[in-house]
Amino acid sequence: MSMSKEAKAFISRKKKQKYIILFSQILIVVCFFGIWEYLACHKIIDAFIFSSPGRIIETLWQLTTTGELWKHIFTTLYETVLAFLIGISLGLILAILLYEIPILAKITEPFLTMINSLPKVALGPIIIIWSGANTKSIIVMALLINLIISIMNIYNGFLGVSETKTKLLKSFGATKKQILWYLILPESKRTIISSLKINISMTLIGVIMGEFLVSKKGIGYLIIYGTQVFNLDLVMAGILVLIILSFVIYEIVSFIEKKLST
Amino acid sequence: MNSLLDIDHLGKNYFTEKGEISAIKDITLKVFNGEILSIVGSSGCGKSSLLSILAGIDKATSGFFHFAKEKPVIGYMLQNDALFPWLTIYENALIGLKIQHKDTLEMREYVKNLFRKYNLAEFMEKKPDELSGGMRQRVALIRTLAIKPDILLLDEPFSALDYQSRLAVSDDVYKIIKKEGITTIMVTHDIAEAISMSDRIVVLAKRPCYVKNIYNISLTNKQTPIDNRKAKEFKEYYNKIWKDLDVNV
Repeated sequence: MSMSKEAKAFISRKKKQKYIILFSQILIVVCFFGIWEYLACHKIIDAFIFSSPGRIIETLWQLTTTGELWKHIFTTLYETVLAFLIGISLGLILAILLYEIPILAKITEPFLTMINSLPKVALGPIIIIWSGANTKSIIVMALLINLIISIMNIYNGFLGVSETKTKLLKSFGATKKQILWYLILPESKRTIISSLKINISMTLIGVIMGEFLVSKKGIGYLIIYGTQVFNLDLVMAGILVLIILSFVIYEIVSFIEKKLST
Repeated sequence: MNSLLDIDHLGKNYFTEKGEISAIKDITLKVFNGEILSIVGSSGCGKSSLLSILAGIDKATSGFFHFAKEKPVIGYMLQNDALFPWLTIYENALIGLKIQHKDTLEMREYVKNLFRKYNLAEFMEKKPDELSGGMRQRVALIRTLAIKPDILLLDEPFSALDYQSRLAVSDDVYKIIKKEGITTIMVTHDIAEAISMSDRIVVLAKRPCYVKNIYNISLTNKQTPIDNRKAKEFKEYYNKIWKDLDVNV
C-alpha cells in the first residue's frame, strides 16, 4: 500500500525522535564519565575518594583476569534467582490461601501491612543469629523483602477478578477449585507476571542487603569489602557491575513477561 | 399449560452491619413450559436478586421455589457477555460443560452445531475481542445453550449493547430461544424489549418488590421482536406497564 506524504513525514518524525532520545542518553553517559575522568585526572577531585572511570576499568580488568568478578557475579545471581523463585512460588500459594479463606485475609491484613512497612534491614542481626552467617540468611533477607509484596500484589489481583464471571461460573455449579483454575488464575495472569518484575528488583535489593551483612562472596560483599579497606575503586566497580546486572536481570524478566503475556 | 417452575411467597433480605435490607418482599409466580416470561421493574427493585436465587447462586430468606423436573439444568446469561478473553469463543462455549464434567466428544459436536446453526462457525477459533458486541452476546447464549438447559435465565442480556445492536441481538436471541423451545425468564428494565419478546410480563413493585401485575401479551401477527414493536396493541401495553412502574424522575 502506498503511503501518503503526511504518513511518511509522521514516520520520519517518530524515527528522528527515537534517534534524538538514544543520542541524548548516550551523550549523558559519555559526558558523565568524561567529566568525572577529567576532574580526577586534573586533580580537581580526589581520585582516592571519588575514584575515576579509568581506575574503575582497571579494577574491573584485574577482577576479570583473576576470575574473581565471575565468582562474585555468579554468587549474587544464584542467590537472587533462588530467592526470586521461592518468593514468587510462596507468594502465589499464600495469595491463593488468603483468597480462598477470606477470614484468614482479614486476620493477617494488619500483620502483612506492618511487616511490609518495616525496614527489613533492622531484622538483619536477628536473621543472622537465627539462620547463621551463611547463604541461608541472605535468602531469608531477600524473602522478607519480596514475599510480602508478592502476596499483596497477587492477592489484590485476585480481588480484582470480575464478579460477573465468578457469578457465571457459579451458575454452572463451579466449585471453589474450579473457579480458581478456570477464572482466577488465568484472569490474574497479567498481575502475576507484572509482580515478577517488582519481585526481581526487590529480591536483588534483599540479596545485596544480605551480602552487606553476612557474606564472603557476591557483589554486595565486594562493595562492603571495598568500603572497609577504603578501596573506592573496588566500591565503584562493584556498583557499576550491580547496575549492569540489575539492568540485565530486569530485561530478562521483561522478555519473559512479554513471552508469557502473548 | 404445565408449569415448569412454581415460586411461592419468595422473599429475600440482605444483612449488613447497618441493619437489614429487604430486596424481595413476596413473590408468588408460575412459569409455564416453553414461554418467555419477562420481569420488569424499576432499578434496584430486586429483579436480579430473584434470578440469582433461581440460578442457585443466592439463597432466599423466606418462601421457596420448585421446579417440575428433578435437578433441572439452569442456563444463566448475564448483563455482559462475561466471555473469557484468553480463550477462543469455542473454548468459551465449552466452559459450562467442562465445569459440569460433560465435556464429551458428542457434546463438543453439539456445540459446534450450535455455532453452525447460528452463523458463527467461521469465528470459532477467534478470541472474543475480535468479535462485535452482538456476536459476543450470541456466543454467550451458545455457551448457555451448550449445557442443554431446561430453563434460561436472562439478566438484562442486552443492556451492555448500543441501541441498534440491542434491537438486532434481541431479534437474534428471540429466534434462537423459540427455535430451541426453551422456557425463559428475562429480567429487563426496557418495557419495549419486554413487550416485543415475551408471552407474559410480570411487573414488580419498587423495592422491596412484589408482583404488582401480570400481563398476557397478545399481539396481532406476532412475529419477531422488531416487527412486534409495530403491532397496534404495543403502545397500549407500554402505557399500562409504564403506569404500573410508577416512575418518578
